[in-house]
Amino acid sequence: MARPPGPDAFNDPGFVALIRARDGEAIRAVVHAYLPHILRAGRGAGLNPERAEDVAQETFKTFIETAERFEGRSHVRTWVFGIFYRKVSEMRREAQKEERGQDIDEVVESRFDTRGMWARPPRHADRGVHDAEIALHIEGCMEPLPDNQRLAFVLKEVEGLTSEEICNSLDVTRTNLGVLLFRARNALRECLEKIMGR
Amino acid sequence: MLKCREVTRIVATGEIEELTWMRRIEMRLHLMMCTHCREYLAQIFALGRGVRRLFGLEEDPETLERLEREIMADSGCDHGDHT
Repeated sequence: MARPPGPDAFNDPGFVALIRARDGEAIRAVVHAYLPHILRAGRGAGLNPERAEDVAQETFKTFIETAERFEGRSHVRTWVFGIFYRKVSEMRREAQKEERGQDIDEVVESRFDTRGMWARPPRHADRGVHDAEIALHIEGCMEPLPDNQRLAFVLKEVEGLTSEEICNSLDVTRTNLGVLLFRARNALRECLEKIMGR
Repeated sequence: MLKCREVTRIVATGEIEELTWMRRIEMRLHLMMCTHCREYLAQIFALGRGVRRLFGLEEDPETLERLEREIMADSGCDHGDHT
Protein backbone atom coordinates (compact mmCIF):
# COMPACT_ATOMS: atom_id res chain seq x y z
CA MET A 1 0.00 0.00 0.00
CA ALA A 2 1.08 3.61 -0.44
CA ARG A 3 2.52 5.32 2.61
CA PRO A 4 -0.13 7.24 4.52
CA PRO A 5 0.04 10.97 3.83
CA GLY A 6 2.06 12.91 6.42
CA PRO A 7 1.14 16.13 8.24
CA ASP A 8 2.26 18.27 5.30
CA ALA A 9 -0.60 16.93 3.22
CA PHE A 10 -3.19 17.49 5.95
CA ASN A 11 -3.92 21.06 4.90
CA ASP A 12 -4.76 20.03 1.39
CA PRO A 13 -8.45 20.78 0.70
CA GLY A 14 -8.86 17.33 -0.80
CA PHE A 15 -7.58 15.78 2.40
CA VAL A 16 -9.86 17.95 4.54
CA ALA A 17 -12.78 16.68 2.48
CA LEU A 18 -11.68 13.08 3.10
CA ILE A 19 -11.55 13.71 6.84
CA ARG A 20 -15.01 15.25 6.80
CA ALA A 21 -16.25 12.20 4.95
CA ARG A 22 -14.56 10.08 7.63
CA ASP A 23 -12.54 8.24 5.06
CA GLY A 24 -10.80 5.35 6.83
CA GLU A 25 -7.39 5.95 5.30
CA ALA A 26 -7.41 9.67 5.97
CA ILE A 27 -8.53 9.20 9.56
CA ARG A 28 -5.91 6.54 10.08
CA ALA A 29 -3.21 8.84 8.70
CA VAL A 30 -4.17 11.48 11.28
CA VAL A 31 -4.28 8.97 14.12
CA HIS A 32 -0.94 7.57 13.04
CA ALA A 33 0.66 11.02 12.84
CA TYR A 34 -0.55 12.39 16.18
CA LEU A 35 -1.08 9.43 18.48
CA PRO A 36 2.53 9.52 19.77
CA HIS A 37 2.26 13.25 20.45
CA ILE A 38 -1.06 12.94 22.23
CA LEU A 39 0.21 10.09 24.40
CA ARG A 40 3.30 12.03 25.34
CA ALA A 41 1.39 15.23 25.99
CA GLY A 42 -0.92 13.23 28.26
CA ARG A 43 2.02 12.10 30.34
CA GLY A 44 3.32 15.66 30.22
CA ALA A 45 -0.04 16.74 31.60
CA GLY A 46 0.64 14.58 34.65
CA LEU A 47 -1.41 11.51 33.74
CA ASN A 48 -0.03 8.05 34.42
CA PRO A 49 0.55 5.86 31.33
CA GLU A 50 -2.85 4.16 31.51
CA ARG A 51 -4.75 7.39 31.93
CA ALA A 52 -2.69 8.87 29.11
CA GLU A 53 -3.80 5.97 26.90
CA ASP A 54 -7.41 6.48 27.91
CA VAL A 55 -7.26 10.15 27.08
CA ALA A 56 -5.59 9.40 23.73
CA GLN A 57 -8.37 6.97 22.83
CA GLU A 58 -11.08 9.40 23.94
CA THR A 59 -9.43 12.20 22.00
CA PHE A 60 -9.41 10.29 18.74
CA LYS A 61 -12.87 8.91 19.35
CA THR A 62 -14.18 12.46 19.59
CA PHE A 63 -12.04 13.50 16.67
CA ILE A 64 -13.63 10.81 14.51
CA GLU A 65 -17.14 11.52 15.77
CA THR A 66 -16.84 15.22 15.04
CA ALA A 67 -14.75 14.90 11.88
CA GLU A 68 -17.57 16.10 9.67
CA ARG A 69 -17.47 19.45 11.49
CA PHE A 70 -13.80 19.96 10.67
CA GLU A 71 -13.59 22.84 8.24
CA GLY A 72 -9.88 22.98 7.70
CA ARG A 73 -9.68 26.55 8.96
CA SER A 74 -7.00 25.55 11.43
CA HIS A 75 -4.52 22.74 11.00
CA VAL A 76 -5.89 19.32 11.91
CA ARG A 77 -3.20 19.09 14.59
CA THR A 78 -4.67 22.16 16.31
CA TRP A 79 -8.09 20.56 16.17
CA VAL A 80 -6.80 17.32 17.67
CA PHE A 81 -4.86 19.07 20.44
CA GLY A 82 -7.93 21.19 21.22
CA ILE A 83 -9.98 18.04 21.80
CA PHE A 84 -7.14 16.60 23.84
CA TYR A 85 -6.99 19.67 26.05
CA ARG A 86 -10.71 19.49 26.81
CA LYS A 87 -10.40 15.79 27.66
CA VAL A 88 -7.49 16.38 30.01
CA SER A 89 -9.30 19.25 31.69
CA GLU A 90 -12.38 17.10 32.22
CA MET A 91 -10.35 14.25 33.61
CA ARG A 92 -8.38 16.42 35.98
CA ARG A 93 -11.44 18.35 37.06
CA GLU A 94 -12.91 15.06 38.14
CA ALA A 95 -9.80 14.42 40.17
CA GLN A 96 -10.42 17.84 41.75
CA LYS A 97 -7.05 19.48 41.70
CA GLU A 98 -6.91 22.68 43.65
CA GLU A 99 -5.61 25.59 41.65
CA ARG A 100 -2.42 27.06 42.89
CA GLY A 101 0.36 29.11 41.47
CA GLN A 102 -1.34 32.45 41.15
CA ASP A 103 1.05 33.69 43.79
CA ILE A 104 3.97 33.03 41.46
CA ASP A 105 3.53 36.59 40.20
CA GLU A 106 4.32 37.85 43.69
CA VAL A 107 7.26 35.51 44.00
CA VAL A 108 8.70 36.80 40.76
CA GLU A 109 8.00 40.40 41.73
CA SER A 110 9.75 39.96 45.08
CA ARG A 111 12.98 39.12 43.28
CA PHE A 112 13.30 42.66 41.92
CA ASP A 113 13.90 45.99 43.60
CA THR A 114 11.91 49.13 42.88
CA ARG A 115 14.14 49.98 39.93
CA GLY A 116 13.40 46.62 38.32
CA MET A 117 16.87 45.23 38.97
CA TRP A 118 17.54 41.87 40.56
CA ALA A 119 17.23 42.00 44.34
CA ARG A 120 17.47 38.21 44.68
CA PRO A 121 19.15 36.99 41.49
CA PRO A 122 18.77 33.40 40.28
CA ARG A 123 21.24 31.14 41.97
CA HIS A 124 24.04 30.13 39.67
CA ALA A 125 23.66 26.55 38.52
CA ASP A 126 26.49 24.21 37.69
CA ARG A 127 26.20 23.59 33.96
CA GLY A 128 27.40 19.99 33.88
CA VAL A 129 24.81 18.27 36.03
CA HIS A 130 22.10 20.71 35.15
CA ASP A 131 20.03 19.12 32.36
CA ALA A 132 19.96 15.61 33.76
CA GLU A 133 19.07 16.89 37.20
CA ILE A 134 16.27 19.04 35.84
CA ALA A 135 14.84 16.05 33.99
CA LEU A 136 14.90 14.19 37.28
CA HIS A 137 13.02 16.78 39.31
CA ILE A 138 10.87 18.67 36.84
CA GLU A 139 7.97 16.22 36.84
CA GLY A 140 7.37 16.75 40.54
CA CYS A 141 7.60 20.49 40.08
CA MET A 142 5.02 20.37 37.28
CA GLU A 143 2.53 18.51 39.44
CA PRO A 144 1.06 21.53 41.29
CA LEU A 145 0.82 23.69 38.16
CA PRO A 146 -2.69 24.48 36.90
CA ASP A 147 -3.60 22.47 33.77
CA ASN A 148 -3.50 25.32 31.32
CA GLN A 149 -0.02 26.43 32.47
CA ARG A 150 1.35 22.92 32.38
CA LEU A 151 -0.10 22.18 28.96
CA ALA A 152 1.02 25.48 27.48
CA PHE A 153 4.53 24.65 28.66
CA VAL A 154 4.49 21.06 27.40
CA LEU A 155 2.94 21.89 24.03
CA LYS A 156 5.51 24.61 23.56
CA GLU A 157 8.64 22.85 24.78
CA VAL A 158 8.02 19.18 24.04
CA GLU A 159 5.63 19.18 21.12
CA GLY A 160 7.09 22.29 19.55
CA LEU A 161 3.71 23.72 18.58
CA THR A 162 3.70 27.32 17.38
CA SER A 163 2.21 29.97 19.65
CA GLU A 164 -0.71 30.29 17.26
CA GLU A 165 -1.46 26.56 17.40
CA ILE A 166 -1.29 26.53 21.19
CA CYS A 167 -3.60 29.55 21.41
CA ASN A 168 -6.12 27.80 19.19
CA SER A 169 -5.84 24.48 21.00
CA LEU A 170 -6.19 25.97 24.49
CA ASP A 171 -8.56 28.68 23.28
CA VAL A 172 -6.59 31.56 24.76
CA THR A 173 -5.30 34.85 23.38
CA ARG A 174 -1.66 35.45 22.60
CA THR A 175 -1.31 37.64 25.69
CA ASN A 176 -2.88 34.94 27.88
CA LEU A 177 -0.48 32.38 26.49
CA GLY A 178 2.41 34.65 27.45
CA VAL A 179 1.07 34.87 30.99
CA LEU A 180 0.63 31.08 31.19
CA LEU A 181 4.18 30.43 30.00
CA PHE A 182 5.55 33.16 32.25
CA ARG A 183 3.90 31.64 35.31
CA ALA A 184 4.75 28.05 34.41
CA ARG A 185 8.39 28.77 33.70
CA ASN A 186 8.91 30.93 36.76
CA ALA A 187 7.14 28.46 39.02
CA LEU A 188 9.29 25.63 37.65
CA ARG A 189 12.45 27.67 37.93
CA GLU A 190 11.69 28.59 41.54
CA CYS A 191 10.81 25.00 42.40
CA LEU A 192 13.99 23.60 40.87
CA GLU A 193 16.12 26.25 42.48
CA LYS A 194 14.70 25.22 45.81
CA ILE A 195 15.38 21.54 45.18
CA MET A 196 18.73 21.88 43.51
CA GLY A 197 20.05 24.86 45.44
CA ARG A 198 22.93 24.06 47.70
CA MET B 1 17.32 50.84 28.67
CA LEU B 2 15.74 47.48 29.55
CA LYS B 3 15.36 46.61 33.21
CA CYS B 4 16.05 43.11 34.54
CA ARG B 5 12.38 42.66 35.38
CA GLU B 6 11.50 43.49 31.77
CA VAL B 7 14.13 41.08 30.44
CA THR B 8 12.77 38.17 32.48
CA ARG B 9 9.26 38.95 31.27
CA ILE B 10 10.40 38.94 27.64
CA VAL B 11 12.20 35.63 28.19
CA ALA B 12 9.53 33.76 30.16
CA THR B 13 6.47 34.84 28.15
CA GLY B 14 8.17 33.72 24.95
CA GLU B 15 8.18 37.25 23.54
CA ILE B 16 11.88 36.70 22.98
CA GLU B 17 11.01 34.65 19.91
CA GLU B 18 9.46 37.56 18.07
CA LEU B 19 11.37 40.69 18.98
CA THR B 20 11.78 43.69 16.72
CA TRP B 21 15.40 44.26 15.72
CA MET B 22 15.57 47.28 18.03
CA ARG B 23 14.39 45.21 20.99
CA ARG B 24 16.78 42.45 20.05
CA ILE B 25 19.72 44.83 20.21
CA GLU B 26 18.54 46.13 23.59
CA MET B 27 18.26 42.56 24.84
CA ARG B 28 21.75 41.71 23.60
CA LEU B 29 23.24 44.76 25.25
CA HIS B 30 21.53 44.00 28.51
CA LEU B 31 22.56 40.36 28.50
CA MET B 32 26.12 41.31 27.69
CA MET B 33 26.27 43.39 30.85
CA CYS B 34 24.07 41.44 33.25
CA THR B 35 25.24 38.06 34.52
CA HIS B 36 22.03 37.49 36.50
CA CYS B 37 19.82 37.81 33.45
CA ARG B 38 22.19 35.60 31.49
CA GLU B 39 21.85 33.01 34.20
CA TYR B 40 18.07 33.39 34.18
CA LEU B 41 17.92 32.96 30.41
CA ALA B 42 20.15 29.88 30.60
CA GLN B 43 17.90 28.38 33.26
CA ILE B 44 14.72 28.99 31.28
CA PHE B 45 16.28 27.30 28.25
CA ALA B 46 17.45 24.46 30.49
CA LEU B 47 13.85 23.91 31.63
CA GLY B 48 12.91 23.19 28.03
CA ARG B 49 15.79 20.77 27.58
CA GLY B 50 14.97 19.08 30.89
CA VAL B 51 11.32 18.51 30.05
CA ARG B 52 12.19 17.26 26.56
CA ARG B 53 14.60 14.82 28.11
CA LEU B 54 11.84 13.62 30.42
CA PHE B 55 8.96 13.38 27.95
CA GLY B 56 10.70 13.49 24.60
CA LEU B 57 11.34 9.78 24.56
CA GLU B 58 10.01 7.68 21.76
CA GLU B 59 6.75 5.92 22.55
CA ASP B 60 6.76 2.17 22.63
CA PRO B 61 5.92 0.98 19.08
CA GLU B 62 3.80 -1.94 20.29
CA THR B 63 1.63 0.32 22.42
CA LEU B 64 1.22 2.70 19.50
CA GLU B 65 0.24 -0.08 17.14
CA ARG B 66 -2.25 -1.57 19.59
CA LEU B 67 -3.89 1.78 20.33
CA GLU B 68 -4.07 2.71 16.69
CA ARG B 69 -5.76 -0.60 15.96
CA GLU B 70 -8.26 -0.11 18.79
CA ILE B 71 -9.08 3.43 17.77
CA MET B 72 -9.67 2.43 14.15
CA ALA B 73 -11.70 -0.64 15.14
CA ASP B 74 -13.96 1.63 17.20
CA SER B 75 -14.22 4.30 14.58
CA GLY B 76 -16.88 2.84 12.35
CA CYS B 77 -14.86 4.20 9.44
CA ASP B 78 -14.29 2.06 6.41
CA HIS B 79 -10.96 0.43 7.02
CA GLY B 80 -9.43 0.58 3.59
CA ASP B 81 -6.68 -1.95 3.31
CA HIS B 82 -6.02 -1.98 7.04
CA THR B 83 -5.96 -5.52 8.31
